[in-house]
Amino acid sequence: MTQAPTAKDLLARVRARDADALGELYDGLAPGLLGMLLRILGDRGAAEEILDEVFLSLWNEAPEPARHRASVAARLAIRARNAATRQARSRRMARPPGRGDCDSPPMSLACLPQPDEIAALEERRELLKKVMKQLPAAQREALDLAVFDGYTEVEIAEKLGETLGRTKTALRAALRFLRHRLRAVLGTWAANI
Amino acid sequence: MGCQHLEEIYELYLLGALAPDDRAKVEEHVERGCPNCLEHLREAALAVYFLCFTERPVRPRPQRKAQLLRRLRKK
Repeated sequence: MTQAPTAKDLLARVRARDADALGELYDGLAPGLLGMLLRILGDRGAAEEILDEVFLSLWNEAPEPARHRASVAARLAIRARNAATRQARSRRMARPPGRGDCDSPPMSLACLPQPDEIAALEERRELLKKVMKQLPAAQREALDLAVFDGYTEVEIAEKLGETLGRTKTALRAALRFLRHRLRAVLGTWAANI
Repeated sequence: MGCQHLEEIYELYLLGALAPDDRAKVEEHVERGCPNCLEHLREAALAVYFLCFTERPVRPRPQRKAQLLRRLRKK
């Protein structure tokens, strides 16, 4: 039986300028990315533009030698999320997209999760989604504003009519909860992190 | 200075949600290649990745993929 190619195999073929390989990566990753982009932008045309851009950027950077083992899924997810939230921010502020002091920082490839970490997470995603339902609604709302709307802590406080101190506490509690559950579910408690 | 105090804010840093002073604290460590910060940032990036994909997947229109592949074959 022929095994389906891994993302690593496909990326190697993309580096060799194989457009069909990029198409296979697209088939696997685009639906998840588009779901996220639609949540951020609420506009299918704009979401699909960014979807195209992230795959084109992968194609354009592909000839460079692989110096890292960063997961391509993580790379595209974070790149797409940051481009979309930048656009959402600029719409809110009625100015053209650009780099501002509240932008997400450029991600070093060394900081991105590796393919085996992503695979382990994906195996347990449904369990983690159920676990996240335990988060108090106010914490979840604050977290969603940061993730999907690109709001800063100060903006989240203003939006929710809360003090900055309470907002910071809610966000940090939500992320602590997620971090601890991820460590427990992925079995990384003992790791030096 | 150690980076224990930054443990709570790596995800917010990656999301671009921190106020400039907190962001600068993380950047100071990252710029000097603090191995503890880099390890925590990788863990934080995994959390951010998880959060990005909590929405229901949406299949792109088939013509979109065809257009994209045509564009890159012309390059």
